[in-house]
This record gives sequence, C-alpha cells and structure tokens, in this order.
Amino acid sequence: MSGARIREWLLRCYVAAVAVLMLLPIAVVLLTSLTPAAYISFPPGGLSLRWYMAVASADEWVPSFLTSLQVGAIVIVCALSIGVPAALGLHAATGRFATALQTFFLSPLMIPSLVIGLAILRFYESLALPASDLSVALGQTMIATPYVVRFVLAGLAGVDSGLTRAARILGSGPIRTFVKITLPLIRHGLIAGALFSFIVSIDDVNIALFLSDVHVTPLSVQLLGYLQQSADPQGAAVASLLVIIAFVLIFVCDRLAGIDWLFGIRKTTVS
Amino acid sequence: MTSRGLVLPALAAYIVLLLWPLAGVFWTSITPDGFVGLSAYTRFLSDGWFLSVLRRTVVLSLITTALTLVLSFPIALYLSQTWRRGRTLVTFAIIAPMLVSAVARSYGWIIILGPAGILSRCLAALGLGSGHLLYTETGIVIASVHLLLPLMVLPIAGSLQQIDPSLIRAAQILGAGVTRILFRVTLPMCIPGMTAGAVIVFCMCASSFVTPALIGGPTIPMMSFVIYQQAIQLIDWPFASAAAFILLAATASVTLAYLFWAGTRRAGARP
Repeated sequence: MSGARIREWLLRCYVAAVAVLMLLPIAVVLLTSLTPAAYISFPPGGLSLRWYMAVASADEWVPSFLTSLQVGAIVIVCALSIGVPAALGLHAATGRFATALQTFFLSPLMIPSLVIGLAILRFYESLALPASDLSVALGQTMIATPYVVRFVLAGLAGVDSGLTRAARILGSGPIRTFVKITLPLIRHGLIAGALFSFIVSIDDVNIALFLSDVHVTPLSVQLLGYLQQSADPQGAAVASLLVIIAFVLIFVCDRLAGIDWLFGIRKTTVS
Repeated sequence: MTSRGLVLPALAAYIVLLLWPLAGVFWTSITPDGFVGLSAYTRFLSDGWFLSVLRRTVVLSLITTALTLVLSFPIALYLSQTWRRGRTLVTFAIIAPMLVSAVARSYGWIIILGPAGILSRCLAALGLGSGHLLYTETGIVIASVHLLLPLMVLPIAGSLQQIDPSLIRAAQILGAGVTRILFRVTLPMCIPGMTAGAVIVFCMCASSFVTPALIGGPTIPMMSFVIYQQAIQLIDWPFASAAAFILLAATASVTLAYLFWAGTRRAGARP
C-alpha cells in the first residue's frame, strides 16, 4: 500500500514541477518588465512601471498595438464567416469526400506557417497588392479558420439532431431553426473559435513577418525585431502586454466555454 | 442537400489564399532561370552548409519530440483522472501557456538562459562552472520543449480518457500489478494519442521560426530561418521557394505517413 502512496506522491511532485517550469519563463518576463533598472535584471531590484511608460510614449509601439487589435478583429470576422458555414456543411455531409474535405480544412495547421506566409506574399506581389491591415488579416485567416472549424464541429457533435428535427416538424423554417436552436447550442464553439482566432492573430509572427511592412507592423513582429537588436526592459514590457492579453482571453474562454471543454479534456466521467 | 453548399466559401478561400499561392511558390522553385529546371533544389542539396541546416532541423526536432513524449505522459495521466482536485489549475498552468505568444515565451528563456541569466548564476553559485545555454542547440531544445509540450499532452490525455475503466479493473482482478497494467494496457491504448502528438510536435518544431531565431540566433540557423533569410534579406525567390518546399516535403511526408497509418489502423480495428 505504501508503494502506491509513494507513486502517487511522485506523480504529484512531478506534475507540480512541470507546472512551475511551464509558468517560469512567463513569470520571468512579467517580473523583468517591472524593474526600475535600465538593463535586464532578474530578480528586479524594485518595482516600477517606468518601462510601461516608455512603451506608451514611444512612437513604434502604440501604432503596432492598434494594428494588432484591428488585424485581430478582421481575422475574427473572416475566420468565423468562412469557418462556421464550413463546419455546418461538413457536419451535414458524410462519406469519404467529407472526411477528405475536413482534413483539407484543418491542413493549414500542419503546413509550416512560414511557408504559407511566403506563398501569400508572392501572391500579393503578383497582384501588386500593398500591405494593409486587411491583407495581413487575410493571411492569418488561413491559420485561424482551422480552429473555428474544429471548435464548431466539436460543438455540433454535442447537438441532439432530434431538437432541430422537432423544430422543423413544428413548422420552423431552416433559418429560424438555425438561429433559435442550433446557434445557442453551439455558442461555446463559436466563442472559442472567435477568441482563438484573435489569439492566433495576435501571436502570429510567421505569416505577418512576410505580409507586414514599415507602415503595417503587428505588435509581435515589432517585438521580435526589437528583441533581435536591443536588450532593455522595454521589450519585456511589450512581451508582458502580450502575456496579459493572452491570459485575459484564456480566462474569458474558461468562463464562457470551460477550459476543459476548450482543450478536449472531459470534465466528468459517466460511471 | 443545400447545407453541403455551405463549405463553398471556405473552399474558395482555401483555393485562392492557400493552394494557388503554394502552387505559385512551387512554380517559382522549379523555374529559377526563367525555364523549368531543378537547379535551386540541387544547389540546396549539394551545399554542405544548407544540408547541415536541414540535418540540424531534423535532429533537434526529433530530440524535442522524444523529450516531450517522455515528459508528457505523466501529466496526461494526471489530467485524464477526473477525480483529481486542482485539475483545472494544472490544466491552466500546463496547457494555457500554449496560447501565450512564442516571442514572449522565448524572451523568458533568453532571460533565464543568457550569459547573466538565472541559470548561469545558479550554476555559478553552486560552483558548477560559468557556462550559459543561450545561442546553443541545447537552449533551442529546452525552449522548444516548453513551447510544444501542451501539444503533446492534449492528444495523450484524449487517448487516456478513451480507455474503458473496466479494462483496468479487469486487469487488476486478473492479478496484474501496476507496472504490468501500465505497460500491457495503458501504454498500448495510448499509442494513437502519442503518435498524433509526436507528429504535431515534430512538424511544429521543424517549422518553428521565432524560438530558433531568438534562442539560437543567426549562428545556428534552422530551416525556417534560411527560408526567411533567402526571401527577405537576399531576395532569392527561387532558392527561398525551393527551401520552403524541402521543409514542406519533410513535414508533409511525416503527416501523410501518419494519416496513412491511422487509416489502416482504423480499417484494421473494424470488426
């Protein structure tokens, strides 16, 4: 019996250690951004917001931040408007063709996104299309749509088809049935898809690196360029902003859809 | 059925923004001098330096995949046991960092692994020398494992949750010990999840740009860095396109082999 207890204790220690290690780099960035010193020092000698002030007053960060927000908003709209119908169509269809199509819609996740970025850049160049919020967002839509398709399909899998059939039999039209029955039932998938689209967009470097220019530079691309040249805590302050945005969105996702559901881990077992 | 037509907008977007641009890049790669020829590919594959980059990419991705596989299993086991208290907290700590910008997380590792970083000062304090891991292959592997661990944990946890608890109970009743159940029941049942996770982690690691660029720097480049450098800094489109397709071929062959394996496995499992 004590052997089982030792194993249990070892497992708990191991999981706790990995959890700490997973959060460590993120915590280090957050703490470094609060340093009052002019150089990267860890642990910080004190606490100050001077680097956040520096970021807010610098010419390069604020426009980048706004670009990221706008691009992220466009990505949400584009990814939902093609991903949600695609998931509904896939859910209705069956057979080999539907399976192949689903694999195709999820495939951008398996293609190196840098290659997608290069390809779309060449495509835009052939059309002489200049960089804009929209052009960057369209590129990122290709890596955000798979998440929307996946989450909405997962949501649809949980919908009892008897409910929509009942609504149709009772005289509700297809659009009304969708708005009144299906949409509320798959809202978790929709919310998760929208928030993931935004997170994918704001975290993306590989595609935006190719599609952005000096006038349209999302925050993560600007930050990567900054970190490759400078080493002051200003970079840590910007990185912390990205961390904070991500954690706020994860928290919202958890409240609205449940973090277990989001990552496909079942909450309770039926026994 | 009209609902199948719902996939058309997504299909159109994927053709215009994914297939057509990728076909364009492929065309660029095989027409380096204005006519069809493989000189861009032969230049890559006959150059010792470029081959060493390809080899490094494959080797570091394999090491990262193996490490995440070993490290993930106990965590997946923990997360799949729904009776555990604090499971949401562990999910949050281990899985949620997946959604934090890779730039911010890599920056955390720069601060930890750098010359005046936390790790080197700890080592110095313990009298274990004065090395540091920034700009080393070990550093790239550490940061990549941190980046990709959640992508391995999730499919394994999914597999573990598929296991019928009565199988474990049956094995216990028939007198199998904990170790025996682990190796004869639990691990074999996890193979689908482990394979899926390994394929995802390998492909993501081989195509990652941010982490090797920040942790490895320009002195130990990986494939994605070479593609970026050839495209943006040297503006050698045919060569960048050829490098992109070599990377794509490497990741796609792993993915297709997996899909084929999963397909035959599913066909074999049918009664």
